[in-house]
Amino acid sequence: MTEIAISSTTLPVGSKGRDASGWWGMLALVATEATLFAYLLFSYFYLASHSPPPWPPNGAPSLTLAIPGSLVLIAGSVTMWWGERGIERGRRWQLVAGLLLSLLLGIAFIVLEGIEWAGKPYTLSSSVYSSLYFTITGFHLAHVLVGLLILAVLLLWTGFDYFDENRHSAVSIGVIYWHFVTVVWLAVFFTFYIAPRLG
Amino acid sequence: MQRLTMPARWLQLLLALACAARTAPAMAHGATIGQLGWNWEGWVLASLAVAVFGYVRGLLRMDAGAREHVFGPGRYAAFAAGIGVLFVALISPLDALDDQLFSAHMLQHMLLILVAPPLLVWGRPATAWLWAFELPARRSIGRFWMGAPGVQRGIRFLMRPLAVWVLSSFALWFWHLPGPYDWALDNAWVHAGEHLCFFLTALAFWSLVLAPYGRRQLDYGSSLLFVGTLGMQMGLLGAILTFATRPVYLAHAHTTLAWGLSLLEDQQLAGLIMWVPAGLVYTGTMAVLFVAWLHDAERKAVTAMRAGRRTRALQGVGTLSLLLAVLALSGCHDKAATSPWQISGAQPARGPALIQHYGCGTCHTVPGVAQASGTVGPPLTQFGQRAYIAGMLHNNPDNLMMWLRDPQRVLPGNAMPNTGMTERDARDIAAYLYTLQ
Repeated sequence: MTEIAISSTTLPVGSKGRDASGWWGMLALVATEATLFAYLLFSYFYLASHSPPPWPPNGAPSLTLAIPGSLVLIAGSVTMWWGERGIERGRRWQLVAGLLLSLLLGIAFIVLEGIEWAGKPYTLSSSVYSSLYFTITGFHLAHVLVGLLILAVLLLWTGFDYFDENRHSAVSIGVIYWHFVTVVWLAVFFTFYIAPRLG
Repeated sequence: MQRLTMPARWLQLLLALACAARTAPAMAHGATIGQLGWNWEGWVLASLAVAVFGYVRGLLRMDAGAREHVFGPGRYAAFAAGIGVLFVALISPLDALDDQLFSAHMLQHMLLILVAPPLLVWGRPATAWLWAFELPARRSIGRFWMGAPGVQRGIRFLMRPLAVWVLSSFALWFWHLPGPYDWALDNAWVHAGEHLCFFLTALAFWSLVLAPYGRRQLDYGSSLLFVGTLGMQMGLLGAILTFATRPVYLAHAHTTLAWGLSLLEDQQLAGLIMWVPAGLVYTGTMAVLFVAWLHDAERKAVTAMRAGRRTRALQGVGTLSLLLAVLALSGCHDKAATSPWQISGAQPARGPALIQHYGCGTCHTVPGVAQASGTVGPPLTQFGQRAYIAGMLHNNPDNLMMWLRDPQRVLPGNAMPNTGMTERDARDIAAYLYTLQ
């Protein structure tokens, strides 16, 4: 029954591996947020089926910023996955690099999204479509901001040397959220940018 | 009032379908509005024929005992029913009707996603098809499989629940967007590709949900989530179609009136088909999974109790019993002693032949049984002296027979497969194993 979990002379901080109540808490949070987005996207299709054509009123939105934005978010997920793998093998520098890269890519996404928002000829209250557009991408953007906050805290904690190959549950838990934000974006991207081109 | 008459029209339509099936033998795919024929498309027929032929041939090649254990009437019936549903979906006039009515097309999709795949998966066709080949061919298939780790990894990746979930969701939403939908109706190959997308993702989905070989890749809680979230997507799509105030699928614009439905009514009917009957299938599946989950929990509790009772009994009786037990155990080490477990009415002499028959030697080394030199599971040498079965159950006749007959029930997901052993055979095999001192 003995299990050697502590290999250093100082006591570590945090749970071992993924065995933490935060893990379940994060899964529950992802479940509620996924439901929120499922219903937001449902309302997009529902209102689209109730609106006179053409839908979207100004034609399908341009992909010039949306495709780089998607690639940036996906890359941010990949760098975070790479960073998590690093700490699983005890390489703290890899986690720091992964967190930094993901933070930068997340910020790049927000900048791209901001440019796209600024270029829209309509506002939140112009039409059904514009309300849907700003509400749904806005909700997603808020989730990206929360994700950046999580990454920043993880970076700080990594700086304090809280994590090693045995104790890094906070990283694993934060990473789930970050991947979730990417997956939600792919659904949003498909709904707003791809679906109108297939309709 | 309009809505009240819709079921009646649908009934009318089914009747028309039945009539068409009788009167119009060979009509080209979606030839004339309001008229239907059978779709005797060569490659569909050939695929179905090969599937049935392989299945039957495989079954005939197995010896009767093995066939009874691996398949049994329920499995054949499921496979036959699945093929029957595919026949209805792809060859009967329903297939021709799907060019004319969106609702008929959605009915066809539901058959391809929710009815045929679970039946086929339950029929364990892969095993039967493998047996359709001669032994050398089976061996080379096995060698190919073992020699192709890339293929194995690819299939394992595609069969991961998350991958199946994402692909199923994507197929569902992509093919119901008006653009790809029209594209499929225009081009027969794209149409076949669409159906293949639905069918293959559904086969993967139902393999994970039903676990036809008894080893669950996805535990019950996750299975419920898996089924529930995909069912919810189908329901949302159905709701969108049901509540839409304008027709979205214009490809059927000139054909629905011949069946007494306006374009929008046809679309609402399609939405309801996706929403209610499909929702019932998902809800029913979730109910079955819930019951299976409760049974599983109960089984685990019983097993834990069985394993624990002896320990508690031992602790309760005190030092004297402990001493006696130690004496008894030390007695077991004496080679001359007989097995501590006598199973009444058992014929240990039948053991070796039965062990060979059930193929235990593929994974276990069993003394006294020809060719039983497997290294997958633990060797069964000196079995009569072993303290535990599967590292968990106390070694006694009841537990051993329970384990032999249904290892997957005792310890779901462990590597030992259910072989469908009868009670008598388990008794004789257990008796033989206890002679191994």
